[in-house]
Amino acid sequence: MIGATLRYSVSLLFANNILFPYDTLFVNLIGCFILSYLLHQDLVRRNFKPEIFTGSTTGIIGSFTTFSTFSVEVVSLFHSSISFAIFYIIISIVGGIFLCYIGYLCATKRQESK
Amino acid sequence: MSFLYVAVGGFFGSILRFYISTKLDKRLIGTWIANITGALLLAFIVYAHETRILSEAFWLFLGVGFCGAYTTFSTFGNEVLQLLLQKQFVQAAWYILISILVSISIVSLILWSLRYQF
Repeated sequence: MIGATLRYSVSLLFANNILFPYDTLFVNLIGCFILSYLLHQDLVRRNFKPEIFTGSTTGIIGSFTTFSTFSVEVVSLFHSSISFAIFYIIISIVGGIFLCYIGYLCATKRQESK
Repeated sequence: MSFLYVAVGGFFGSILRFYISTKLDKRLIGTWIANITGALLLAFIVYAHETRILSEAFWLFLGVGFCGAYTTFSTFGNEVLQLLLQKQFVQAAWYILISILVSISIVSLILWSLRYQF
């Protein structure tokens, strides 16, 4: 509920750009980072009740990011520009996994230094 | 008002995804099923919205809210990261390929068979 509303707010901020889906790319990449950080941060896991933890990870971040819009945008990009479509896929996947990794590093590094 | 449609759609979408992931207790398959079925549904909704079968309110509720929240990119990314951290590189590559190729093929096939004008 909150995640979907946040995603819609971001899409309104990026409004009127039909050339490239920056809004979806932005929410997906940011969402990957935040989810990875929350999942690997022990402090968050320990201090939150399990229900609240699932609610904020699966619920908010899971709804904030989207795969269905990504797929439809890729297909419609293929019809306007194949290179944009391929670029969009690569930057989403590689960037998403990279930001997951950065989130993981940020979360685990802080635990080591304590 | 538009925020309300998105919020209510998102509410049902995330609950359904959570329900599927708890029912299918296996790794990856729950996210995969949600992502693929969500992309399939969104293709129909996009078509219905563009051809004015669905009103703007239904588009916000079903397309932006429900399908957007039902599918997830962050969990997908983190599952790939887990596979990579466990050095299961082949599984990670397969998971990415099958998620992307199947969803794009299904969406293309639906929009093509509906004669969707891009």
